[in-house]
Amino acid sequence: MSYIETFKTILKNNLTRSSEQAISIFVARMDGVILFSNEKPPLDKNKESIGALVAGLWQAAELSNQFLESAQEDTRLSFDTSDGGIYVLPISISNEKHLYGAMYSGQINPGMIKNLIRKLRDKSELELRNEVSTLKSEYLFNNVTDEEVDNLFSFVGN
Amino acid sequence: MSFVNYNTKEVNCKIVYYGPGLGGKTTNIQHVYKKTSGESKSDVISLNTENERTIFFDFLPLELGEIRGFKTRFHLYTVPGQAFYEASRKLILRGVDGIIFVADSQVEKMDANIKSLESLETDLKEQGYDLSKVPMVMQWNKRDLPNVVAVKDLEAQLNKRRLPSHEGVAMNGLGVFETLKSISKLVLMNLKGGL
Ligand SMILES: Nc1nc2c(ncn2[C@@H]2O[C@H](COP(=O)(O)OP(=O)(O)OP(=O)(O)O)[C@@H](O)[C@H]2O)c(=O)[nH]1
Ligand SMILES: [Mg+2]
Repeated sequence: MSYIETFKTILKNNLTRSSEQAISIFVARMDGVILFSNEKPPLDKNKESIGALVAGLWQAAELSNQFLESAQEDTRLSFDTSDGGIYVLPISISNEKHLYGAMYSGQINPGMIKNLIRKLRDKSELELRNEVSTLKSEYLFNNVTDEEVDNLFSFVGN
Repeated sequence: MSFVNYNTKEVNCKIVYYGPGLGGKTTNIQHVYKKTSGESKSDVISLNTENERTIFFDFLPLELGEIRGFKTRFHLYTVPGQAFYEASRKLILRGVDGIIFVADSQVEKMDANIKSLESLETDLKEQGYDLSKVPMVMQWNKRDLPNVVAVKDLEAQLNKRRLPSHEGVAMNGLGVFETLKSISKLVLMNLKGGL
């Protein structure tokens, strides 16, 4: 099963219909590349920007945190009001740190939502713990030509 | 770090515009944004001060065409050039696949160019990169101004590695895509398989 299927299945099995509508979930690498999203607004249109911003935010927070005498280990990031916001947790996938993030709004009990998100993260992490990454070390493309590069940029207007 | 997804046949690469403050990094990205079309076009995200100096980064996700069956997506970032933002610059360099060094051609900016290049090299080394292996190209920007250093002198002082270099007037879009294509080629040729 691919990791995308794993995230999907876990959401399906653990979210009620109403929470499924209310929570937007994404998983990102530390450089902001989104590996998975449940495509709920605002992720349906802006997930790449959200990935880049949240990963930058996380890393800046983590660095600032290192100035603390006793840097905390099990950190999480939230930016929220009493009924909505962003909540981000670290998740380990094939031994690499990634981010498990959620965006939600209009919640009467956000504490419960955060609990739920932690549960989803924990389950995903457990499933994917043993996923071996098949990192390939050979070059994907050899000898890219100027013409191929021009083709990539053919959408550019003048 | 680049990301190749064999399931969806997509590649993702991170390209960073680096260089001294006010050199024209943000202007480069803004021009790319202006010239791209399509419904999947995303806005430039800019984290900046009131007078438009970058404080954390600019970000533009760019959906390109296909190469050998792989959909290609580039994430363009700029760093803040001002010395004060050293810590942010280091963060943005993490996982970089290719660098465009935007130099300011004006005579009085030579010191700033050299300092910026030195700090780039220090940051990359600190992060375990082998300098000779990081894809990089140079852009000699602001060629429209009267008090510019001759290109051969820029080459001698800033381009000891003899990397590909391009003249630019980013403000008018000159050289912007030429530079981006040049780094794209190097980055794609340097790409290794993924998850
Ligand atoms: N004359 C001239 N001006 C330029 C050119 N490119 C950029 N500029 C101007 O230079 C100023 C600074 O450009 P930015 O793109 O904001 O510079 P930056 O490198 O992003 O600066 P920081 O964010 O502080 O690192 C702006 O006023 C631009 O309009 C150029 O080719 N020629
Ligand atoms: Mg800028």
